[in-house]
Amino acid sequence: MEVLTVDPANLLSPAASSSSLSQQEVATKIKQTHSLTVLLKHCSEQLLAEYVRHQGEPFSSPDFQPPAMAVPGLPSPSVPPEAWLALSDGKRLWHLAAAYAALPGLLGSVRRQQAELNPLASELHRQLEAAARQCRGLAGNLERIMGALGVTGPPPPSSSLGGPTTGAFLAKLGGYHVCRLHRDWAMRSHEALGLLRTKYPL
Amino acid sequence: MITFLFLWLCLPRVESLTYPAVISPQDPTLVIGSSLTATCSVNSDLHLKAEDLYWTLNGRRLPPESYKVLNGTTLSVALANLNGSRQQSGDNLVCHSRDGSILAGSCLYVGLPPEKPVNITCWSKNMKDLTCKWAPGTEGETYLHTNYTLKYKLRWYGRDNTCQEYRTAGQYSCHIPKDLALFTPYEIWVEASNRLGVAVSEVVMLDILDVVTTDPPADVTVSRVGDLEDQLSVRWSSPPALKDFLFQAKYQIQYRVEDSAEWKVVDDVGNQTSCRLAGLRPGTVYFVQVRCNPFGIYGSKKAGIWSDWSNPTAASTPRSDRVPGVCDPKSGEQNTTLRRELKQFFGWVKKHAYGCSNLSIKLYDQWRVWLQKSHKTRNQVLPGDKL
Repeated sequence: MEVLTVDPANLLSPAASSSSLSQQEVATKIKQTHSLTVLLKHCSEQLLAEYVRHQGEPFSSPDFQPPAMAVPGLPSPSVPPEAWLALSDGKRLWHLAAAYAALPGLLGSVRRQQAELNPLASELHRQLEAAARQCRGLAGNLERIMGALGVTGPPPPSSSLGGPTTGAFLAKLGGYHVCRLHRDWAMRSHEALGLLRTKYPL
Repeated sequence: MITFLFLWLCLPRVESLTYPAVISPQDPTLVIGSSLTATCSVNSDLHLKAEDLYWTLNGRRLPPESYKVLNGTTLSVALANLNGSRQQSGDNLVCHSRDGSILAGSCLYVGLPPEKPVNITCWSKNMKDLTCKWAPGTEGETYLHTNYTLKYKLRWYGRDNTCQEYRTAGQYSCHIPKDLALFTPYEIWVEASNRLGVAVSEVVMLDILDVVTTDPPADVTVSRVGDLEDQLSVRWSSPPALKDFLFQAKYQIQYRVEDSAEWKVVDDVGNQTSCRLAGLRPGTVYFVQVRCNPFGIYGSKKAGIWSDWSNPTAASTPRSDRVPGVCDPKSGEQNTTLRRELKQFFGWVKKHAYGCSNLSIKLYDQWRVWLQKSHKTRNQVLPGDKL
């Protein structure tokens, strides 16, 4: 399966500074980013399913109810769905940018932990790496769009704590939360970019 | 009280996360069949009582008879005769509050120490590299992730080397790509290790030159031999990689009929690059493969290792389709030279052989007619035949 990675440097002609994109260029960028969120939505579902499969019960049971756990540096999409849709485009983009700035690092940590816990699960490792790459791509795209629309971005995430070595069960739980949040944010970004597309049609 | 203090001191100190409870021991490693007592201590802030807790292992609830309340906030569970871990990431032992929510967890690693790896076999492709494969010890399934390391050293020098490229020829294999010496023996062994221990295989000693294999023969072509219905001619080129030091090569050919799984093998094909297959069925598609064994490299008396088979090449034997009437000689037309000779022969027989008075050229003519009639039957095209 082809991974749609976006190198921020390739997004637009190098000569164009962040705010001098034509309407056409912005609309193209938004459409491209929307396609990326479609891919992310699909891949994040697959990743979550693949992840729980390797952790064993109760993670892999359909009625798994994990305890709430704060994942440092990554906000849960805490704004409820109706309120999310009521936000301005700029605010939505801001939240997305914050999430996608943090997700690649977190997915990387999960991959490192799974290399120890499930050393033979090569498909899981591959999907975790791909997910981090896709999130970086999306973060770059969002930055360009926000620049074109004149929206200020969030501050860069604090360098990940690294954290003390947790036990295996907590590592499994933490990884679960990251994968699920990755999926939830993919759904949110897909919604948000869909709305932007209608506002900036090609 | 002292136990409780001990448990409290063992709580992990993580700044940003507070845990509702803690299980001890965390992530133990155990041998299959052993027993374990674990404890779940809830954070006193939560106002949960030990009696309200319960345990699950891999999602299955553990029987209350195995629980014991140690104090107001600590519940223990006794596990006996543990089975091997269901997944390599560890069995999930979880402490729940009465409403089912997860309070804490610990991963159990239950298995067996590794057995000595066995059956180490190695081969070198064109004397450039070395690939070895092995089998895990008799138990095979240790339930714990087992790491294998292939090591090698020159017999007379001290330095151990570690192979880096694993799983190149199956799960238990490793590939050494370069810097291999010829004419001097290597010692090779495999170490298996998991959470419960280490096991080292027997040492295998070999010289690279004794385990050489090569590429399959190239340019394999299979063609008909004129009109012969039961033969095919197979031609190939010797593998190019060994042309500089190949003194001899042995080949083997295998062939089968298109819709059969049974291969026939032609052995003892010496240092030649063609061979004729005979005794084949007419009008049949055959698949043919050739492989090569480098033999007598640098004067070695040993055979090498057979290469892979070449990709199958297909060819079909001819089938003479005698349409009735086309190729049969007309009744008047005979093979005149032969007939003339036979007439002379029978004349002579009549004169000199006693008791053969019935033999005459007429008998020969009758035989020819009979032959043509039975040929027609034999070569008749039936509806079911594949042409």
